[in-house]
Amino acid sequence: MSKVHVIVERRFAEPLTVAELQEVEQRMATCLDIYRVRWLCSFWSTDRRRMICEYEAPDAGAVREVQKQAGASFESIWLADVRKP
Amino acid sequence: MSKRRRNAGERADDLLEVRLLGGFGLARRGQVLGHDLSRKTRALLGYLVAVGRAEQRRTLCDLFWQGPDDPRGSLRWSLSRIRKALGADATRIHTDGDLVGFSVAGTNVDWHAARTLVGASAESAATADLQAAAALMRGELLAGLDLDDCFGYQTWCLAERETARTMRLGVLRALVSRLTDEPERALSYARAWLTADPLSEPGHAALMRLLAAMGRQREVLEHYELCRRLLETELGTSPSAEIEAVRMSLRTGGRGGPLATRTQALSPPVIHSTEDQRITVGRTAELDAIVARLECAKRGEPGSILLIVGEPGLGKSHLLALVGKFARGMSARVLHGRAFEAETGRAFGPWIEALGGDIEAGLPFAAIADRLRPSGTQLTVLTLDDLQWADEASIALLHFVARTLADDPRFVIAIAARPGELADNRPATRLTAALRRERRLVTLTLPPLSDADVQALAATVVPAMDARWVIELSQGNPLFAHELARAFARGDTALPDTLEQMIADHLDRLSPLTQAILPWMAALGRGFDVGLLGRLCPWPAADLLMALDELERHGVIRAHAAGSDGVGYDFAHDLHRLGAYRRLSGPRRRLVHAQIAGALGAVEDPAGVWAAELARHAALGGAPMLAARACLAAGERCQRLLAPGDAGAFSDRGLGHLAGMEARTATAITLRIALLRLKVQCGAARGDQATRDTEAALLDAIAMADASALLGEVATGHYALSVLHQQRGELDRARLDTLRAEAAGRAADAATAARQKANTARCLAQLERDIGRARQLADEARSMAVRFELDEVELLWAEGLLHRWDGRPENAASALEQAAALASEQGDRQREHGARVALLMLDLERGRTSAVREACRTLLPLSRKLGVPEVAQVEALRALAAAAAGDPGAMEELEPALDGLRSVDSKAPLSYALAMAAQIAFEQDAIQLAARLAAEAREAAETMELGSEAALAIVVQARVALAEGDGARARELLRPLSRTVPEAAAFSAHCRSSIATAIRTVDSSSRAAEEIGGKS
Repeated sequence: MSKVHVIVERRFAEPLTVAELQEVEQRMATCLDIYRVRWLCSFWSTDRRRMICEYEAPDAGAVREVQKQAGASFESIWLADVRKP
Repeated sequence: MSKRRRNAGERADDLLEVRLLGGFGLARRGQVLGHDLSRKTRALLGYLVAVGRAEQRRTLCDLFWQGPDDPRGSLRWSLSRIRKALGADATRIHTDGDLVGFSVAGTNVDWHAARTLVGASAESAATADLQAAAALMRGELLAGLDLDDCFGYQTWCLAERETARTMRLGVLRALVSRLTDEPERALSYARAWLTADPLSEPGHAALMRLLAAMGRQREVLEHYELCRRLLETELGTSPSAEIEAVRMSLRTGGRGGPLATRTQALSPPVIHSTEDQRITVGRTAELDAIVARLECAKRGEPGSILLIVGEPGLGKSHLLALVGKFARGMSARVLHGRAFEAETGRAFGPWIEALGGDIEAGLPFAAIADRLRPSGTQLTVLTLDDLQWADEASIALLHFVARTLADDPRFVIAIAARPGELADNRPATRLTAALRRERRLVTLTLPPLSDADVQALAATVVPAMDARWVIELSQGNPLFAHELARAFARGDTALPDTLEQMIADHLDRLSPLTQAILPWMAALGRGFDVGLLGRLCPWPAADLLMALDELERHGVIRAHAAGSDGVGYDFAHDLHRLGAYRRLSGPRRRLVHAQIAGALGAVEDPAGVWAAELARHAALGGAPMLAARACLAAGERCQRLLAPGDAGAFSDRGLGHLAGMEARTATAITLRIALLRLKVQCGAARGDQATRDTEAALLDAIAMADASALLGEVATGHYALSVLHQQRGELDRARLDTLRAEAAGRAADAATAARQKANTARCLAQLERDIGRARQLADEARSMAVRFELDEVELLWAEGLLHRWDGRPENAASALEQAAALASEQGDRQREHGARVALLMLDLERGRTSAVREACRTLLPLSRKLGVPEVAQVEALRALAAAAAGDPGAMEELEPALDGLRSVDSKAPLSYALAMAAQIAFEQDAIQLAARLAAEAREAAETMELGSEAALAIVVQARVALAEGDGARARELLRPLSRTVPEAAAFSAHCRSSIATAIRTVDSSSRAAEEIGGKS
């Protein structure tokens, strides 16, 4: 099955804490398998108000569903090509 | 010789002067009044003066005394203190029945005067008036009178400060703009503008323009560099085009040296003296008492606890440090702890500093006392500084230790405190009163130094200086006298008339980089090391080290050994911390605290060690939800450390943060119930009024939790009610609450399990994957839901999808309709939309095209609220229904609708829409279009492993092949499907029926072809 790279951008009105993040990650873990989405990595700004997550999935819709299921807020979701140095 | 900014002789009138800006002050004929008022009492007076109207007693109690048992009594006490302080003006406090007010007529209040001068707006005021207003607006409104535990007052105060700040910035901006022809005069206003709002880009640009106009080009470039770093570090932005334009307008020849060079150039050498010599000036009697106490302990004779009291700057902490120093000289074990104002309420804060791990481990008081007990002949000396800020648990432990070790003469306790603020700390006041009654307390009250002592002190800085003006200005305050003497040594010519102003001027002389970093250190509100500072502040380590070095050279901070591997720092005096903190404008203060809160929130802290600090920074950083959550963690930690009073205070603070927020979100309800449970468990809800209030709050929160189906929270709420009723001796009600809590708890567990099963079933059914398992999970969830009478959106939705799969459209429609209605009732828009979309697909498959079109029209407003993918899905369904109904031009509208789904990369709904569109196109004889759509549908469905959509696409491809006369290819395409079609688990009923029809058509067409072939 072909997979694409999907980027999720998040922004939080109040700085996110480790505990809150872990809670969302836990909720997301079960959905990821069902929707065949693989979480690759995340970048969390040091002021804890912004985050960018990278996933591998059949399509952006699957990643969107996972976010909704887990109650994870996001600003935008987009497909990406990976470029490396 | 130096000249004072204001001379006592200039005050000819007898008006009562009230200063609200840049710190609260009260004076008449140059005589300072009310210096011994507690902070809360000063805040109350400041409030009454600022509002200038009478308030109801109840309002004042709500603003200032939410916690205590007798708020009206506390208000009466504070008013009596204010009257005493006002002396001849006591009648200005007037009470009329239930109303209390302050008559401002005939007084000189800086804030009111400034407002009158500015009038409606700074733009329309006369320049002379603006200058007079700027002189009055020296700083923040009621600076230093923050009361973290008085939510109502604090909220009012922040709003008023914002008003004052906005007005001050307007005045400074207008002056800078009007005085461009007099850059020397405008410069000081521009600097004041930037001190009040360091991140103002127009302010930086204006300052640079003025410097440029004065030919100080090197300073322009240096200021540009500082501004660039400040914006980059604190806002993550670059200087504005306006700032860049000023820089570019300079000739390159005037460029100055690097910032480091400037830093050093601005740091004049400080003349150091022997510190001990300075500290001991004028304190002979106190030193004798300290030495006598230690010698008495050494001889094994019982002695009293030493309490050193005095106003800020009189030398309490220095004397306490000398107690430690002398004791170490006697080979004693010395333990030192200090309370911080910012940490008031952090359970055992000073004790953790003194004893570390023993307290963290939650040892009982008796075990701690045992560890403190001296061994052999070695003395143990415990020094505790700033008792006025100690938390309730620390004071309880101090009292316990003092009582338990009273029989051991080798154990010595010395404490320091500010008398005015001690009155605000009830547990501390009770402790000192109890010790005094037991005749176990010797109080050393530090008086102002005599003139001769001030002269001697000044001589430790500049030998043989004429200190008459130091004597006059310092009024015997050694810290002030020392600062004045140092200013003299530096050659300063203009000297302020208050210690606070003196410190502010001192800080003004630091390098710009250090001035930018300093407020971060002050905002921390506690001692720090480089590691902590580096983690919590955004400045690079090299800058921090440079600033620390400069601050230490200037005597603003002091270094001390911290732990085994490093150096810790703290402000040399709390007045320095306060002075540095006041330099932060309101918005920047919020930014600084929010960044510190963000950094603290990112620390893994399961034990809640940082929670109290996180709560403070989050509250000051404008993040009330985070603050409430941190209050809960801090309160729970206090409970673990057996500090119930502090836990109760945190629960109240947390509830206060939630008070201003939307109460009905799941997070807010969960937090509210958890905070109320904490309040009940730590006994803070005792007392008639408190019990009634807590009970009402709990019932309210339980009702909200119930309405939002938060069954776990309902259980917790009933449990808290049972404890509350038990505490009140209402055992029958407590038993009933317990039964309700258990029932809700069982239902909550079942609901959680049922919800998880139903959710997985729905996801699998929607993804057409493992339908057998989806059916099994839905059945299990249904049996649990029946048993516990649960209404579950996901379960109804899953059942609707499964009925649709099985070909029971009526049942499917009923379940999906119920799911959507229930989700709507619960405010769950996302699930409501999902269930309604499933209903639309079902109706489309049933050929109810007009119903689909109507439902799409109704649903679209909700889709628009949810997002572009939802809109694309519903638009596609509407286009399909129109095309299926044969509307003119509908086939042309299909393509843009499908583009909508393609653009959001939602392949599952896209493959469904393409397959349906291919089917419709074929039926309307658009064969080529049907072929293209079917090919794309098949590709998308195979990518997503959606069997039914792929099969529907293949069916269309087969029918197209047949229509083009290629029966062999049609049979070839359908062959794999014909093998699996009897299996209900492989394809949906709609799909199975399409496959069966296609197979029949191909077969009959083949037979017909064979018959024609046979005849021919």
